[in-house]
Amino acid sequence: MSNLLLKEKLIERLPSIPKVVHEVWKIIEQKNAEPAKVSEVISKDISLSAKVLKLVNSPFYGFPNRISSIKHAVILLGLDAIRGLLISTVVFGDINEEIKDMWDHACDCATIAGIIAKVLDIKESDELTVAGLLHDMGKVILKNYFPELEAKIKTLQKIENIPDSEAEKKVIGISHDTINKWITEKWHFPPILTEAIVFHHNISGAGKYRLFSAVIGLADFLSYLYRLSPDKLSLPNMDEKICGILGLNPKVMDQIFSEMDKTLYPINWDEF
Amino acid sequence: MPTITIPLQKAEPGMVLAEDIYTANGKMILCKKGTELTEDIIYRMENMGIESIVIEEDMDEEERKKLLQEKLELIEKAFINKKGDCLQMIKDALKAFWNKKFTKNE
Repeated sequence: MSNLLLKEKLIERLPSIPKVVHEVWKIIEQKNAEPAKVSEVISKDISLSAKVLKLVNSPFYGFPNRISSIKHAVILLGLDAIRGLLISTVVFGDINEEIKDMWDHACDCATIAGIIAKVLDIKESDELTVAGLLHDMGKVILKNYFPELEAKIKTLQKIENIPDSEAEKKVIGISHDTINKWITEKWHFPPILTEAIVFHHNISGAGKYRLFSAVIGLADFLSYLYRLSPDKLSLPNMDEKICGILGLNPKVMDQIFSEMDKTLYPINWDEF
Repeated sequence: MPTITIPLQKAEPGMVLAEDIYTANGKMILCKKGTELTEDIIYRMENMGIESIVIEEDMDEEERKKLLQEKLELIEKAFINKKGDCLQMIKDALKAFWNKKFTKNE
């Protein structure tokens, strides 16, 4: 399958955006969007509201008190982050056994992205958390809509013990970064999320939001590193420039690891 | 000493607190580090709205050493084909972190 054909097929198979989500996006994309309006629309859909509240209250945000209203959630997180959360409900749909591993990794990565932001004093930690949740959405879409290709990629990756991106290139000619890019274009992601997600393996490709791509690249790498086990030994590619861009040193890394360990060590994402 | 954060629902009498527990406003210490939990203390924390606590992980010296060794070996294996100063620094920092966590009296 050529890239163009793959792109066409993939976009064709993307899940349709629920009406409420669409409505919210339209409001957010207007200048001077009003948070009150956004929460009003989300609140109309009970199941969507429940999903959003569940995400807002999950450990990756680490708010000290339970958030029980959508209004409060929208104000706390801001519109870009809320938009990202809505997208994640569309991408992941209902979490089933098939995509459980991907969901766990997405949650780890979201948590770590938020931790990195806090340790490095980057104020957009909520946006970064959402970007962490969505950084591999291309893989999720492949798995859900092209399971036969995804299975081939997984097999090759296991046999040759190579990073996912390399296996993807060998099987379908492109990596999930490219698929991420197609989805962000199709669904009009805000630029901060787009860059953070699309360029997390290739920081040089990013523009204004290079810092955010670097955070997600690091968060992705650290989530695999933290969960190393005899049958999960492969680490993704990480851009060497990340250390310079984020100003990492052993002391900062120690802080990041101890925060990660506090939050991630006991977590079983099933409970959330 | 390795510590572990658990949701309060999983707290059991006999567990030992590894960090002070503060009241919801963060101003007062409710329960000191090193306290052994009892039914009563757990009940009080529930009433105070505490959601999670950090406890000491019950693990003997040998177990700890073994776990540390496993972690370090996995890191070495995973980094076999990885090059570069940035990655090397991250690798060393994680090894140092596990060393610290799984070494006694830390």
